[in-house]
Amino acid sequence: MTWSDIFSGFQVATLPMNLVFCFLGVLLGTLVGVLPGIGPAGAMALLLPISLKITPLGTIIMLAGIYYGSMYGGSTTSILVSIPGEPASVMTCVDGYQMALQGRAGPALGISAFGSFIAGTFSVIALMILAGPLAKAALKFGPPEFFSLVLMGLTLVTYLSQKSAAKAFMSALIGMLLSWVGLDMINGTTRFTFGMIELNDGIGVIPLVMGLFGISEVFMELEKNERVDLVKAKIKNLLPTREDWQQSKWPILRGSVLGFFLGIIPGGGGIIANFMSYIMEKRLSKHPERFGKGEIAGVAGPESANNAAAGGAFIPLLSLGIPMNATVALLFAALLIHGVRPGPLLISEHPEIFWGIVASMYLGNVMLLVLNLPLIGIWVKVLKIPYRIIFPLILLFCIIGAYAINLSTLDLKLMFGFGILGYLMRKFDFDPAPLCLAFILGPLMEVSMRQALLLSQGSFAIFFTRPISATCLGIAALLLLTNLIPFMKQRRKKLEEIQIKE
Amino acid sequence: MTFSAAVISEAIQLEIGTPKSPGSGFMIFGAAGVLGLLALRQFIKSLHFQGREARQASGAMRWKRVVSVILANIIYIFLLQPLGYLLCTFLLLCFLFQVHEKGRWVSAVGGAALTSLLSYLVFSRMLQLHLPRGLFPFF
Repeated sequence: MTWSDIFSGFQVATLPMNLVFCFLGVLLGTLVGVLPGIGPAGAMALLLPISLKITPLGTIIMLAGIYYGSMYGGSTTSILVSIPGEPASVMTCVDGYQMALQGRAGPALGISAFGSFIAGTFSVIALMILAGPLAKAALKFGPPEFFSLVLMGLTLVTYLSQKSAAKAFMSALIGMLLSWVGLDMINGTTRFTFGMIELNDGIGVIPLVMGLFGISEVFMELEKNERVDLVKAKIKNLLPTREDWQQSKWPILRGSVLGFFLGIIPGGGGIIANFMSYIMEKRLSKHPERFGKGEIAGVAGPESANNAAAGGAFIPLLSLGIPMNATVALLFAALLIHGVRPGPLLISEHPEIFWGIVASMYLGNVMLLVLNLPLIGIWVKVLKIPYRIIFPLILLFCIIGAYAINLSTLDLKLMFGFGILGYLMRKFDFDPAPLCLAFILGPLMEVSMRQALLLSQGSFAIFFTRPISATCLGIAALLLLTNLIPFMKQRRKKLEEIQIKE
Repeated sequence: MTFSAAVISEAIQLEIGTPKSPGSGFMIFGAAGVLGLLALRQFIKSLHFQGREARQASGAMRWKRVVSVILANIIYIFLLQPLGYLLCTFLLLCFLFQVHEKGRWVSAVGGAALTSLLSYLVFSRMLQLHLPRGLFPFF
């Protein structure tokens, strides 16, 4: 990293069209964050087809803007309505809404925005420092390392799944199987195409993600009849006071560091960061009894953490070429669609893309601070739009987006098929995120495994004799074992109960 | 489990190969096998599962709402090419604007007409996307 790299990044990011894409991305991200019912993954999926008409850098700037913009927007609904606009703002509801009820919605929104800005800036700087060395280290990765890293990532995603780990595993396996539809990349055999030429290139990522995240979320929301009770008090004093800063400065700093490193690990991201930061602040606080009753640290820390995690997630994506959560996987897919492969060679082969993304993230954070403070009134009005108007528009955009890929109704059928699948998965407590991540990583995993076995002439020992690969597999095995421990404890408890009854 | 069995049989036909020379069905066989075992575990677990309380009537009504939207969209997909984007989208939106909450038909029809026309102008004319013309080839 040199100053000239950073300067060239800002040169590219400040080109008029890239500034427009950045603004569009953060605006849409904030909107998506404010509106419950559609997440950043769904919004990014909606825009993927349109992104085909713009440059790779413009695409990633816009989609990245949606990703970290949604973290800002999610706090607005959490604080004003006690409904998390995004899962990554769940813990913000706890103290944020209480502050709003006490007439302190303004300081809650203000500290949330400033904390997010500070954390976002921190994560961009850390990304600039760490990405290069990590990319150099990644050049030592061969097929065994990539296979083991992907396996570890998928295992961690299933381990951290909020629902059953076994079901998350099944979801991931289904995603892998779906990713192998089409031509075998090694020997050219067609697999599961059922004679349809359109499937020779495999199932498109756009219909899959739009169906799983966009359409299925609409179906889930249609079942609800929730009324949105907005806090009626006027929102004022958005600038935090000196005392607010005094109480928030350390939670913001701690949240930034914690969130950034949680964003790097597979399956991490905003949700875990938001949750862990809240727990940490409550533990470290001199007055833990105040948490849950409108404690500003309970807003500042978690909101900083989720924004820092969004930045941290770019490190494995850009340096290793491995997305560590489903939302970032869409960024990965967007780059692939444009013929740019993220990974260790991205910085050397496409420095303008890497440094352009980094610079645009900083500019995006500045734009978000402006959007989320003076324009808060607009977002409050958006919250009042009835869902019966929003959901048909979401469906319409999904339809146009899916049709636009190949001008084929097959993509529409696939999208609705995945929409129904995603809906049923949620109804039966299957997490769709592992399916999406496994779908994106499945081809890499298969090719790496087969190449590794060809290298070792059929010996699986290659995965255990190479240090990085062995470490990743060890972590994956440990996670599987720790999943089994609660299960075994439960079994023993049930057996004991049966014995007592007898 | 049925899905896993079907995939395993297809993987065998694709040729599993050997570790020394893995075939097209190698990873598919492994993944489908693990999936089948997990599915079997879930099935056995579900045999001990206590039934849930019956859904309330209002919940059943909302479930019907989801089914009606799914059916509407399926019909839309099949009518898209013959009827064209404008007419098909207008009819779909008229239905969808009424699904969530019963409101005034006039505003639903007006909103559907405006939205379908605007979206056609933006995507077909401005962004040059070739949307199906159907019954209106002159558009």
